[in-house]
Amino acid sequence: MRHDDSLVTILLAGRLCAEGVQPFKASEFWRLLDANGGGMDPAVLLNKGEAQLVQDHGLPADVAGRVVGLSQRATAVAFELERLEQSGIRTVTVFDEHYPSGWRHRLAAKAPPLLYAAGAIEQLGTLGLGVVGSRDVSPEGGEVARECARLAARRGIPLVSGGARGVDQTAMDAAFEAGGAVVGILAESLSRKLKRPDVRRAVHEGSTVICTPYSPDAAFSVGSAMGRNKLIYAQSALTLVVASDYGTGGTWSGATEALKHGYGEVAVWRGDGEGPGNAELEQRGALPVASLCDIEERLDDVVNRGLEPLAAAAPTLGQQSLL
Amino acid sequence: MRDGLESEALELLRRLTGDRATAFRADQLEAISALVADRGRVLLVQRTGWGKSAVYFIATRLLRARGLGPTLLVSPLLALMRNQIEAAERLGVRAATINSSNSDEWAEVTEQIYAEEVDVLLISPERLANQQFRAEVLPSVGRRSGLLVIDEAHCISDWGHDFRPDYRRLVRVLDLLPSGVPVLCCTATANDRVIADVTAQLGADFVPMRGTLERSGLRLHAIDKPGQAERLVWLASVTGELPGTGIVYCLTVADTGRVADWLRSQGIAAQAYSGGDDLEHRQAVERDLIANRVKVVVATSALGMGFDKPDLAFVIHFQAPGSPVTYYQQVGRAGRALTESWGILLQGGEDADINDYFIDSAFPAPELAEEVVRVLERNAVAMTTKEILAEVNMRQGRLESLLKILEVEGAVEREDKRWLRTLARWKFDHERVAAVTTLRRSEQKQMRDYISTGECRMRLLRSYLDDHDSEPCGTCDNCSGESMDRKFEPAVVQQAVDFLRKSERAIEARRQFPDGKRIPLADRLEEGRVLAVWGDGGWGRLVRSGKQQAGRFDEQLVEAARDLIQNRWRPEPAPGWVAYVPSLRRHELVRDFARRLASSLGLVCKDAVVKVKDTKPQKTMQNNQQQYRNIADAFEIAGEVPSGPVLLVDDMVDSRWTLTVVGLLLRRAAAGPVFPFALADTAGRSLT
Repeated sequence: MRHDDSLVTILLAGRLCAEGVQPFKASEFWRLLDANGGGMDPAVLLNKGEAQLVQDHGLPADVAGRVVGLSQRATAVAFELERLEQSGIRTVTVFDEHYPSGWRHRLAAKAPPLLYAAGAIEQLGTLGLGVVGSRDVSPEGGEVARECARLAARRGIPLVSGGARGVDQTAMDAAFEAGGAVVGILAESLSRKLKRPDVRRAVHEGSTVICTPYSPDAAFSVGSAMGRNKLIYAQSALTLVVASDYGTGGTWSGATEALKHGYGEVAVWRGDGEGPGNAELEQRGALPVASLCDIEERLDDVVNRGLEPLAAAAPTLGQQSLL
Repeated sequence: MRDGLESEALELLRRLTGDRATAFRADQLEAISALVADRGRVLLVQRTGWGKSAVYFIATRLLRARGLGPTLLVSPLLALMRNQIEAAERLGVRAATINSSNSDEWAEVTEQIYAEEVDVLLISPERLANQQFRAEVLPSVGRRSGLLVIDEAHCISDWGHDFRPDYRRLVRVLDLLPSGVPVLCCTATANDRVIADVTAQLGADFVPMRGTLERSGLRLHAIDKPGQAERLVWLASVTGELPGTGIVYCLTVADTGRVADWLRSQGIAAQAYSGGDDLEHRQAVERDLIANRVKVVVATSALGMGFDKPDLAFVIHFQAPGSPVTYYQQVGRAGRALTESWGILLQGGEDADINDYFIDSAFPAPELAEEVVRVLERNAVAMTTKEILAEVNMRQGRLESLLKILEVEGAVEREDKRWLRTLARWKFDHERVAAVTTLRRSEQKQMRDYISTGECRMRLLRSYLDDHDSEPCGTCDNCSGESMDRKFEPAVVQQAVDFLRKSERAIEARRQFPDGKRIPLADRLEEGRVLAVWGDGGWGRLVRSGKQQAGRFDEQLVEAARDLIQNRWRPEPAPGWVAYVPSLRRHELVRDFARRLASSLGLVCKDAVVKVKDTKPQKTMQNNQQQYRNIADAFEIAGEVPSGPVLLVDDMVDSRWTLTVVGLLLRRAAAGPVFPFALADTAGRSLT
């Protein structure tokens, strides 16, 4: 049987069957677990009325009301989860084995408490090599993306990307062809992406995982693309920005945000095929790389050093092993 | 708190039964308390009539009063729950049903659920696979969780004989349901293995509560009677004498029709009942039986779980079922509220063949399952069954049931009317299939032992169901020394033989090609006749020995065919000549028969058609498209074709494609209406 902590996380922070209720945002969810001194297991919130939640766990009355309202829909959510699992989409919460190792560590209270994933979810346990860049990539930039993908495959770590066209797609295709593992983190509808025959074949083949922190049927939005970008950085030992616009676009804002908040190790391509924003990203602290050797060296640095200690703001969850 | 619950529950029980003095049976109150006070999960294994519905209706009432949402009750037997629903209403428990036949009411029911006007929603497990139900109705009941009741929970186990694929879905849902949502699983009969399997699938936090299989007053008899004709005579004689009304169980749909016809011809009010009949007809037959307006219902196992007639006087098996669990369930329907009732098992010569067939066809062949998955994986888009059939050699019906199994296993999913390989990993479970098949074989042997035993039958039956240490019943044929076997005069038996020999069936004309195109009216066959069922107790055996041993069909078959054509069938306009379906391998067999039949009818037989291509036997072709493709260009018209109506003769009929194709050639060559005739029907048996 699935663990109650995991199921309660899905009930409280997931958006399935959420008509008329108000699921907790990531930050609200972590704050909830931090209530009353911290380290609370969500399962203790089950089967309690509002008054009891206020009394036992010191929850504010409105929060207690939301917990009760969200928990009540357990049956509807169970049927919906079953439907998703039947079509191969699994729900992974922070209490589950395959929850991405880098997220909680690097994103702290911004880490999504759960994600939906199809395919080789065990790949989520390993930090990969991130590759990001604009949708309209030059032939040289495309070749850099492909080289990175082959490098990841050779080293036996997943290629992490966003599944958009351009750099993302080029890198993922190349990793797949090289027989490497692929982690695609989507900002748009997982269900729709999974309808594509090429994606299905890749998943059947066995070492690709496609995931999203948003509801599987959610539509694309700029906000969710932004929210997604940090997940790529956080899930990668090193993320290479192949080509970025200057001061505009998703790649630019994702990279500058990652540099500012330390979501992950950011490298930037300085060579043929780079974008107008690449130089400025170097100025802002991204590690410059101009060859495959550079990238590999940077990767070794990170792997040898290990992840930085848990961000101070991150709530404790007991024993979460990383790397 | 528990004391308060107990008195509240008892008050509700008394309102439910209308009996102020009634008290709970052992386990009833414990189950209610586990559900209501502990919000726990309970597995209730109790015989039919024990009062499981009292548990869930009272629990519903109590949970509703404590602020929980409506109860969701999943049962394969909704049609049979009307009485229980009326009783529930005495408790103020408001029930609503959602099924395939009332979809115009779904919106209204959904509104009532949102308005908190429904306390129990009853659905069949099949609803859970229905997209409209899941999208439109389920959210209304699931948004405020209440008690979840899974009736006939033994259907969860494919070790049992009532496995229902949709129950697997329920098991997975239970797995995704956090504690605190009360769950009640109920079943009437199951042996240790089924209970162990159900418990394993439900998870360790289920509390099992199990009663005994005691059935006093049921007189068990068993008689070995290989011949169908003799069994028919026995049946007419015994059912004519037994008091009250009862059920006669057969293994196949064809047999239910035949046995019911026979009994009626002997002046006994009998009706046939099978899963092939529509729901209305079945309900009408059930009502007739409950009201004792019919003496005997001759049924397949489709008349099964949950059918509740406490004064059913006898259950007779015309053929022996494949396992003690099935037998106990079926015979256990007799005499629940009677001091005396009969359970009589006849063992026929054909039983082993039929049960072997059931066992062999219970699981899809691994190669086929794997092939279907591969085809879907390769295409990676949703496909119709027709598109799949074009790539695999299997029957449409088998493919559909295979897809349903694969769906439950998570290998494929539906998209509208198409099928898609899911993204879940899947492997054929060889070990489980082998283990279940071995178990079925040993159960088959237990049934043979049950029939031949000289010991107490009730005790043996209960021991098969793991209810050990019972005393001899004192009332079965072995305990009492009273046998119900009878011998009959040959002339009486001959009457039944004649009856069996007149159980011909219609050959319906095909109207469509496998690709869905209409066959033009002018090219179609007329309705035809088939004399016998391959190997049966009428002419079927003689047909089989003619084909397999003698190499020539017996003169009696010529005479029987002539009799059928001239005296019972009388096709109009009457055929003026005879054609036959030629064969390359055994050219003489059918031609010789057709010629003899023609001369006995006073007609001429023409070699009008020749076979120009060797084909594989049609019976190895598994579906329409493959069967049609196999023979579509195998025949040609040769020589002169007389005009006017023609009788088209073949020995076997299975898919009807051969007759259809040859008939089409004849019509296009300017022959008149084509009336097909075959000696025996070899089409796959239909099971329930």
